[in-house]
Amino acid sequence: MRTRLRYALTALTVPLALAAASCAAPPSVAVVDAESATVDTSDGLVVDGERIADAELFEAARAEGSLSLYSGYVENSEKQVIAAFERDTGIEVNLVRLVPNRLAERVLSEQGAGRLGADVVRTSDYDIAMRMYDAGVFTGHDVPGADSLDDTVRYRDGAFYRVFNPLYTFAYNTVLVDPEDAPTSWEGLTEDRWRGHLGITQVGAGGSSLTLTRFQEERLGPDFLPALADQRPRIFDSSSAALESLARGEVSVATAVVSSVNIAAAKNAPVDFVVPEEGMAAYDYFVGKTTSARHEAAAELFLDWNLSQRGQDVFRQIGEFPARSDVSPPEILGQQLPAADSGLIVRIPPQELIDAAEADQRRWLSLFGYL
Amino acid sequence: MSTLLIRIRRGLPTSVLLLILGVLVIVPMLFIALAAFSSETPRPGSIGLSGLSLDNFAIFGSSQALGAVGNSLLVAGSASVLALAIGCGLAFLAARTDTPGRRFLYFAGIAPMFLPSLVGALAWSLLGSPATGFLNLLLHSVGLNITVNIYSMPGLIMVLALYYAPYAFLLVHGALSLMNPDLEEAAFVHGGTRRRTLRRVTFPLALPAVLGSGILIFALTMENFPVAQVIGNPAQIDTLPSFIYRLMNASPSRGNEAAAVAIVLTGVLLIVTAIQQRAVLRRKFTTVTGKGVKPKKVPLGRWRLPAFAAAVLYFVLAVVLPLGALLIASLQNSPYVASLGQLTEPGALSFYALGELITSDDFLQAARNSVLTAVLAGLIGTALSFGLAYTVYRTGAAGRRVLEFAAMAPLAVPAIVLGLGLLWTWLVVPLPVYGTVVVLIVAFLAVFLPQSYRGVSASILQVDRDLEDSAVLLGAHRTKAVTKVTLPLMRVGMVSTLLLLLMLCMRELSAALFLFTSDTRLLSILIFDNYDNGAMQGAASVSLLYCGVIGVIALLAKSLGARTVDGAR
Repeated sequence: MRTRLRYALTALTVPLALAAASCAAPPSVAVVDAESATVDTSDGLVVDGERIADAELFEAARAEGSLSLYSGYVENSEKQVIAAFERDTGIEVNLVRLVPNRLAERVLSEQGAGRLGADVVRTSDYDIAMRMYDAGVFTGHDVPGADSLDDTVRYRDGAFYRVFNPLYTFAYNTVLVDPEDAPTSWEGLTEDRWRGHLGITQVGAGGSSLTLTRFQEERLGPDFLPALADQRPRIFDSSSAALESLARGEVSVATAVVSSVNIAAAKNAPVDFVVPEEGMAAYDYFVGKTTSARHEAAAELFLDWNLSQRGQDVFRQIGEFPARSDVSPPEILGQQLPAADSGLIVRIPPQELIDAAEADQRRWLSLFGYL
Repeated sequence: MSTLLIRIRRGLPTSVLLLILGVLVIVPMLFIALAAFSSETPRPGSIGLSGLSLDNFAIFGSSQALGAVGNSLLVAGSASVLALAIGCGLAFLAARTDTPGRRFLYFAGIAPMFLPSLVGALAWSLLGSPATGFLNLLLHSVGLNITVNIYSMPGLIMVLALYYAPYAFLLVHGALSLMNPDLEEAAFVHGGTRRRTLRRVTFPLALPAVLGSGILIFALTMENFPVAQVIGNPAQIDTLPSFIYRLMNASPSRGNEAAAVAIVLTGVLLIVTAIQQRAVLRRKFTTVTGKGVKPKKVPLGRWRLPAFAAAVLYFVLAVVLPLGALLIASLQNSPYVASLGQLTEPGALSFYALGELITSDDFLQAARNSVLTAVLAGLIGTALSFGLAYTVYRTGAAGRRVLEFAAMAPLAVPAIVLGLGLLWTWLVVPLPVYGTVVVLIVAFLAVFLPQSYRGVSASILQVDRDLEDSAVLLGAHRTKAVTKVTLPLMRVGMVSTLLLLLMLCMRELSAALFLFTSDTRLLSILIFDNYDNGAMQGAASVSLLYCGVIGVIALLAKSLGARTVDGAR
């Protein structure tokens, strides 16, 4: 037995030795440049000249030292946000990350038991945010300049805020599809040459899919989805899975979220996104401080930072569309994204989305013959 | 008065066991049952019996649900048959034939256990995806115009069978190598041919192990979620677990209907379990007695090499190719590969990402948590299972059938649903357990109770109770008789069970999904999160290291187990 163990250990050292020998970092690009901001903490928290917190709040938050964040946001992106926040403030963020639906289960269960472990909750879907709100998860907090934020950003007297919008469009594999030949519009996806080469995400995947479906019905007309169904696209359970398949070349074109494409491209995936002529769908992400927050000051600071120029810029660099109207849209992978008022960024009002959800879902499922 | 005291004393162990099972299994299932019949998912603070109805079961009127039921039965049935064929065949070759390299055969039989089905499915999607799978690149590069499509019904069945065959192997190998040669020799003496002896004596004696592992594999493949999700979903093949998952993940979540589907699944599998119970309980399968154990080897003649080659083929398909694919995927600098030649270009592969990962806090913490939960759950689970099996098979205690049913029940509950039930349970129970590693251990104990109970009870069925009774007759206290006679005779079964539990806990994902917090993350969670986020390389890298950790544990457990056996000889 002992000799066998030794063989095993010897076998293990080979790859380890190889690892030591060829550890060249692949040529990847940092998505968020956290180091570029200048931070001044002599009197509160001031980043790049913008005052995010006064001395009292900042010191209280520093004394608490950490906060617990429950988030439904894409994990790698949330980690980049956290890294920037930790760098700016020195306050540690403990992340629990689950996809929004499971996050909702978890938060509502913990809330019901009076044991919610989160100081801050971030989730997509107005419906989920409202269920949490109704369960008493959120408590009001005014971020600096709260008065200037309209009611599409600040909800229920500051109980929760819309922070940013991921943009849902389509992307292509740059090895399989020459940029010259890539489709430039949603209608283009219904051309014969894409038949059998498309990937899409199922409607039940969450608020993002429902938003995209509503956008397609509203903007592209009732004939678009049937035409898309005729293309026999491969249907994925989540947009991440679709993007992964796109990167691996299993499909040539797939519906995808700009920020995810941005992050994948930074890791050398041969993918690029399209700003379609008809525009793209923007879905919401909300954040709020919890009633049971044990790190109150840190939680407030986190919210303030999220909605500051600095926080918004971090989301911008990731590839999300900032919620604050005074922050300009990002340039991602060399493409300047259109402005909020260009008519190309389509955000569906939450209530409209909820009202149409059931019918949209039913129609989509029957068109694509899906579960 | 004294008879009353004796009654209480006799009933006490059973009551304690019942209480433990109640907390582990029954309460979470009650929560699930409540969810299935209510319009709201039960939550602490909003539990009530008002508004109960059968509405959630209307989902079985949909063609999708019926299709999922049909697919599940077809997939689980075919995968169990294939897995049994592979596992039993290998076990027979390794335990009872003169096939060369029998130690390798044993290794090949259990090695796929180092690869959790999630990892196996990920690896096979890298290998067999029709457009850019490594196997297809290989086939095309040598000029063959064949395309392997793993995203298909046969692909789904094959992947499941590959990774569930070791369950049959472990149980059947144990039964075959412990078999009393007297019975076979008696057959020979009375003129039985080798073939006839095998058919009429050897195989029937191994039947409880075969039946047990068959039912186990059927249930496990039926509730398997990772393979259905990774391989079945791209082929648009829905099974019950992926159906339940989609219901849970629907927006808004349809947890009540998911619970209704789970309840039906539970009912069906309980019936299957009950049928198998009758088969096992009615007959006596004593194969281990006080006499020496040295079963004869069957000479295979000219079939020795083909048999060996078949075992090698299984090993290559289940272990070598998948690990190779994972290794390449975790070293690739770009996820896209157009040809295999592209991988040999300078800069195409690098250990950088893997090196980063192995030293990252996330990975180290997850590895620590995984090992800790698996070891504790394994030890406690084996001990608990012994208590249960002993009570059921060796005592006349009232309620032993109830104990058995409670112990076997989690088999019929998808781990993901049981996980949700456990979340509700431990949020309501006023003990500071939720959010710690303890709740994960509790979850694993509950989820894998059937497996450990099945393992220990198969082993206890093989030990003649007369041996223990003789010790008592000669003056030993019952406890002493158990520890000095029964347990040592069961050591192979007990160690196998512990090994099985360690493996299962290390591999489990679904049950932990609702119970982990940022500081109690497990390796499996890390992999699924990566896959879920489309980070295939991250998933492949963690998978590779994960297999390494599991392999090391297996080696340690094996050396520990081997020493116990050697020392007792």
